[in-house]
Amino acid sequence: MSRKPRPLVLVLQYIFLGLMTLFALYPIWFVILASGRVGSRLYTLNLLGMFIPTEWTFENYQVMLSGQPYPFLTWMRNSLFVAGFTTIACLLIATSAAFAFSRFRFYGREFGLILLLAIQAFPGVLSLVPVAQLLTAFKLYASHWGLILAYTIGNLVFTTWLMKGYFDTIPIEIEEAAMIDGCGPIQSFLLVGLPMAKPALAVTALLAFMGGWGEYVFASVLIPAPDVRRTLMVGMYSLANTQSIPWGYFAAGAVMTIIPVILIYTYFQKYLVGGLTLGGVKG
Amino acid sequence: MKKFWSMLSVLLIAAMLLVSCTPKATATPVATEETAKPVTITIWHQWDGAYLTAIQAVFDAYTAAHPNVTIDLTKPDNVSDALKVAIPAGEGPDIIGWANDQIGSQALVGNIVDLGTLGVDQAFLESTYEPAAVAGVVWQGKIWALPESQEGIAIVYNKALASETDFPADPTDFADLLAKAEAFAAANSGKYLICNQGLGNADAYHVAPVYFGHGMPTYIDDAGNSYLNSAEAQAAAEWIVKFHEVAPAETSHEICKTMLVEGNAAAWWTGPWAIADLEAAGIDYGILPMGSPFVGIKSLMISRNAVDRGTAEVALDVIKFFTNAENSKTIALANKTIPANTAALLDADVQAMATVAGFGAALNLGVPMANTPFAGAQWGPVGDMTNAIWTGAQTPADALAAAQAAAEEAIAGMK
Amino acid sequence: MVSWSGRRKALTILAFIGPTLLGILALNIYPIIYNVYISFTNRNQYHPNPDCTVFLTSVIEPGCWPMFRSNAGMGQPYVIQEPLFANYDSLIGKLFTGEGVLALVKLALLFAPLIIAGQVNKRLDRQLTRPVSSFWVWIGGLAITVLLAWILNVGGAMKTLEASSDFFIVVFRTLLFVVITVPLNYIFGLILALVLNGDYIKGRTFFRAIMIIPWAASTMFIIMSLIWQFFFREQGTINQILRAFGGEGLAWLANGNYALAAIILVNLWFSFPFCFNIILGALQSIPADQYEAADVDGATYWQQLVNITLPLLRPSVMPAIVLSAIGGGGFQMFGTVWAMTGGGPSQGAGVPGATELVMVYAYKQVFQYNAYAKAGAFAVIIFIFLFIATLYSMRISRITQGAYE
Repeated sequence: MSRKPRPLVLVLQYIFLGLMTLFALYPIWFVILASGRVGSRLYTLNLLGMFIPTEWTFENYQVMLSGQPYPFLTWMRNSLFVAGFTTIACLLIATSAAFAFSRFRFYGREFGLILLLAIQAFPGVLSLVPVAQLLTAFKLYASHWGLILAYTIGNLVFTTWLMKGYFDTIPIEIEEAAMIDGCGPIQSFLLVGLPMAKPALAVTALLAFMGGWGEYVFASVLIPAPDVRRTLMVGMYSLANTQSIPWGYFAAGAVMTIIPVILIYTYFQKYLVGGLTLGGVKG
Repeated sequence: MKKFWSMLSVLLIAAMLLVSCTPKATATPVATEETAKPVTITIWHQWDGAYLTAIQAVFDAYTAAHPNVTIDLTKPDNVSDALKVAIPAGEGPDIIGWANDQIGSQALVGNIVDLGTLGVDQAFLESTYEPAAVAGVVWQGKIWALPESQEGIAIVYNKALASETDFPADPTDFADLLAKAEAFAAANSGKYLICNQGLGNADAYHVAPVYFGHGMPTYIDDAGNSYLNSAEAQAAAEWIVKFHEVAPAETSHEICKTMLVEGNAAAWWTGPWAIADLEAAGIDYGILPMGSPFVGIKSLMISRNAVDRGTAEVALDVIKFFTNAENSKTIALANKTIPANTAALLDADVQAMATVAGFGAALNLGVPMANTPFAGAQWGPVGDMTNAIWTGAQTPADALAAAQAAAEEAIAGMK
Repeated sequence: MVSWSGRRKALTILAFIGPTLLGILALNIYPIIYNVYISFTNRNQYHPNPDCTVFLTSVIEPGCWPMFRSNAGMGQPYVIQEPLFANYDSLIGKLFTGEGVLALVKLALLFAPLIIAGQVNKRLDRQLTRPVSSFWVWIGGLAITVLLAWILNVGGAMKTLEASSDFFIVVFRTLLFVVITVPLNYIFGLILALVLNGDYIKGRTFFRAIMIIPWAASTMFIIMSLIWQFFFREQGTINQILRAFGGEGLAWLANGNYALAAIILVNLWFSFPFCFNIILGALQSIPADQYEAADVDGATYWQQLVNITLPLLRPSVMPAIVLSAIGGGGFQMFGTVWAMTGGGPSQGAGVPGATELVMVYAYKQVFQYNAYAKAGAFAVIIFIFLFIATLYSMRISRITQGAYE
């Protein structure tokens, strides 16, 4: 499909690309511009200022980083903590389950796989109250560990399926060779299966991390207070949920929240695309 | 791939390191033998913006006087969502700062405790606070909260853009208000006379002066009768349809405030809580009563978690301190609110404030806000009905009938 | 597979999937059981507390477990509904009265021409030379549908159904949202992927890097939704630009149709990069010799697209489409709507708001109206519906068989 199209079509393609670029970038650019303006307005009455930086100050960033009145860095640390442990737990649990589903043939295997997908069909917001009560019973309510538990289980379905898809593409003969050499199934998994699944592990890790980093609804109900225990998303939303919204601070916080993620995604783009489509395309 | 993997590990390790650097939960002050056991009192509140500063100062004064007490002020995104889970879990606040309309439903669930069991009696209440405030915190013969301030909304106008003559002299003359709003819009293209955040936003509280000003007794009374589909409501709804032409289509607290500050609206139909922000913005304002607003009592309740934790005594001491004459006066003077404490209200400095005269006049025309659980059934239907009338999604007659039916259905669910 | 003794094998497998199983049981299955039970009670704002002397309640309701303190509210405890299915009846009962069934049948009939068109196409495909192209068969099917809609007075049937229950309005609107938003996202993703797959485009790497930005930002949808919400305000960015060019804006989110359109647009911003990247990945794995052979045969661009590209994309893209239609980007959409409109604008009291999709409705019932029992029944119906949809879509998209095993 690489034949060069007619000039008119080519021009249309570039126009389309230009429009999509504008569409993709403008909201982020808008936030960046707003983060450099003083005052509590998200917009500027100066039309030009909505497209190029006509004024710039780091005051908003300084306020957000100073920890007063908003413990922004603490929020960020909380989110890193929650997302980091969610990633580790997810990798451990989902990988082993995915390996079992991919490699072993046992009674209830098909059923288990379908069940995993089907329970996703239950409206998640309705499980908020029972989950919160259950966590309370285990003394995990209003603690980061409870949130980590909820996120890990919440991510399990997706990660298990992703990893299973990848394991399915790795030829089983290699592990069988290892097992003939005297390895048990667990050693063969650790020594042979896992190292070969690195690309999928990496993608799973990244997506699990981002899931924990950006989640809002569960975090807001499971950790309502105090301020210093909130995660980044809940903290940022609380900024915008006051009557007089400090838009300048909000924009600065949003930039500091979003830009690192954009950098990570851009850096890992190739692997992300590969890892997500691998299972499907190879099958 | 290797690069990817190592990069990811570095990220994860960095995350862990950052986390491990976190200082452990702030160390509680070391209790010497003289001082009592350290106590942390958690308060969930809805105080906002510049308004919070003076309030924080009062709590700071309390902790200075009682070194064993730490007070943690938090504003959850949505108090009712948070309470629903947190209090049964034993992780709720000790004190809830909220408007008195929540008393009935919170008492019904058992989230808040009868202050009578902690030694607060009617005599203390009546000797300390204004009668309207006392009535607002008593439900079914029990005392559920201590009142902080009385609130009602009035027209707050920017003196740089309008004068008293731009508004009706008679606060019940809505026809005149409409005429003046039309005249103002005609004279100032693209600008509006009044921004009301109950019109253009589902907000039954801020639209109340319009309905009650047209003669509706209240939305839902203490016995559970609703008055949403009446001739008075019809008149108010028709006024709203006409008023839509000369008012901003979409509103909120923030939008109205910005419009007033930037000069796009000459007035904002709001309450005492907005004054601190307007003064910070350097607006020279005047206050005029209009219609009959809902009169709410900002109050402080004690949660059953405080009783379970054994902090209820201290919590009660904190809210008594907060609502005593001296502190009520300090807050009233700083925030321009109308204190519920009688001695503070009668203080000469407080009486001299323009806001007490302005909002006080509005309160005198107002309708007390119910604190029964029925109160919960009014906000949704009235907000939705007004919004549907405002956007034209329903005709006034249809909207009123639907709201009446919805409110009656909700009340039937209780009985 | 090397085989080992039964018991050791069972233990090993249990060790591998045990944590997953336990987690799913506690945090997925238990909430479902809990909601099913609550849906048969009258739990609401006025009957908020459990009656722990009832055996089932004391087992299912955590509030009755020993680690919780007793509850001393003034409210009545909730009890099992009499009749048992009262909540379900009030939600969907009216759909099954004579008038409701007639209206439902009319709606169902609308799909008949389309199904027939699909079958006709399948049969025609098996013939060596097609008398008419599939495009015209579909157009014919659509035309008959429109005609049928007019003959059967489907507008009237819709009114009957909308008046009969919240349930129908909410589910119908959500389906409408899914049917628009999911194809839209993938069409934009497909066009972009096709353009950026051509090596004649200059700055391909640059454009590809740009297109990942909304994807990264979409993980923090709550923040970006607030920004988008600001764009659509009456005093917001879009109207500011319109005014600069002499136009007259309006309060976009105050109008039901515009609000829904705004949400679809914002969801496009969040979702198209993911679709784009998935399709691009799949495109790059299509072997070039397929096209070379077609070039030799003189096939046009469109013929290649329809006959080679799309069929080869299907196995890898179909599961993603199905999962996003059922999941949070489609039927279970919540966050973006919540932050943008909160389900509004209002269509009047007692009726769901104009953008109140399934999840938003359920959330509002629980957290704003405390209608636990009603919301529970609603969730159970939705669950059954989505459960069947999941099983069916797994069959047609062969998620479990073809692509992965």
